[in-house]
Amino acid sequence: MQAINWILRFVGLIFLILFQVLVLNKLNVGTYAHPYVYPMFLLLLPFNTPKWVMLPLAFLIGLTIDMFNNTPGMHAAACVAIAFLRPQFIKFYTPVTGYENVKAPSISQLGVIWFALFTLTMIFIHHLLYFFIQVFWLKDLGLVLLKVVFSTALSTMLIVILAFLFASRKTRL
Amino acid sequence: MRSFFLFIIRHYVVFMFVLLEGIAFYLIFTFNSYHNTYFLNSANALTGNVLNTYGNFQEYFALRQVNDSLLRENSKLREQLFLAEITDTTRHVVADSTGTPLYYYYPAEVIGNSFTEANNYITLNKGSNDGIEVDMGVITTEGIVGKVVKVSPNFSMVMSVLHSSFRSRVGIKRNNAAGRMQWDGRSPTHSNVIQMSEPGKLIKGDSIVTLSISDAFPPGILVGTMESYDKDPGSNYYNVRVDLSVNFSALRYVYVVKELEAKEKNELQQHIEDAGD
Repeated sequence: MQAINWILRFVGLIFLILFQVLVLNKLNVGTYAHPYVYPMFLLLLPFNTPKWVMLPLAFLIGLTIDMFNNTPGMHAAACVAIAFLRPQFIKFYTPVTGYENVKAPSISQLGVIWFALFTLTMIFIHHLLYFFIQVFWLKDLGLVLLKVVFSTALSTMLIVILAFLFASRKTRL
Repeated sequence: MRSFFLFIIRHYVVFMFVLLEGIAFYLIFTFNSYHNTYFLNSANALTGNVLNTYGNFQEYFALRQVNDSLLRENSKLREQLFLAEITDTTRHVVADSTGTPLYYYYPAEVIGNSFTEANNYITLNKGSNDGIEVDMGVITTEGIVGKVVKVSPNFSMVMSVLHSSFRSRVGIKRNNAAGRMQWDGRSPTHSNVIQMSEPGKLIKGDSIVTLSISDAFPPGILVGTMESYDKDPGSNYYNVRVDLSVNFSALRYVYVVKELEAKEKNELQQHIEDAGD
């Protein structure tokens, strides 16, 4: 069961990366909104994922996106940071009933509000870091903040929608 | 020593975090400048092939649009026929009135393209095997696109006009008033020309084109139209905002320009700069 879940996760990851690189990166939503949904993979990992797996995995996923985007290290740095901070936010968002019987973040088991808040926080940190790392060359603070706000909103919406699409399948497993 | 290792093991997550972030920031600071294009990887085998396959697939959906642009291009080429002499399909030769060839145009297809980053690159399906070299200019029939920064045997990477390190001398078509073009990172449809000297009056809507002093580009290639301008405080120069003529979100076919006298021109320029020091 565990093994099947992990295989499905990685298949999902490949689709997420292709979706990001081939569809979202070619989308021109406006100057301020550049959605990045691939961190969804990191958000959905089981709560008990060991950190020595999570951090290098986050680094490699970020680096893969960097290779396609020609942004060496930028996505990798943002991904490692959210992977590192994830346990703190899981603890922070503990529901009143705790995480009994819940193995991984999911809409069906923890509710849309929990999932959306958790996603919003993590994506905000990811985007904040990513767009600020770009600033080393842009030096335009207001623009960066606008980008962070609009992109975070868009990415979060997309991830919640994607999670809904996946949720029906996950519960059957 | 033992306690040191125990300390590391107990806090391995923090150490791992610092190590990975260290690597990431090393990459960021090492490979994100213009000349360090080592990492620029969409020209390499894996990413190049993924993008190429997808590009082939995507072509079918863009056929109508491509047809339109080809028709437009055809008519433009016909107008230029008295200058251009097409010798083979892999390159077009542009010659002056005495028949001396000045430029080769290598047609290429865009297989990877970003325009939303702070530094944007374009991947082409032609490389050193097809005669593409670093520092060649890239244009479409609509206007200038960028400069080649890296070539592999079958692919090449182009630094887009939408890149914080892109610089080129451009000017107003009407009177050749020149300035330096550089992108402020705001919008993929606009760029800026800074330090433009202006003897006469600036007019909104003026065509901005490449000049004979622009390196890598033939003179007279459209850049865009002047949208607005303001006077640079404390100097007599103007900063001009340019509405780019190329639609970067719909790039498909481009020409890579080889300037046949580039070497001679660069050497001469170097000579002048050296003498000025």
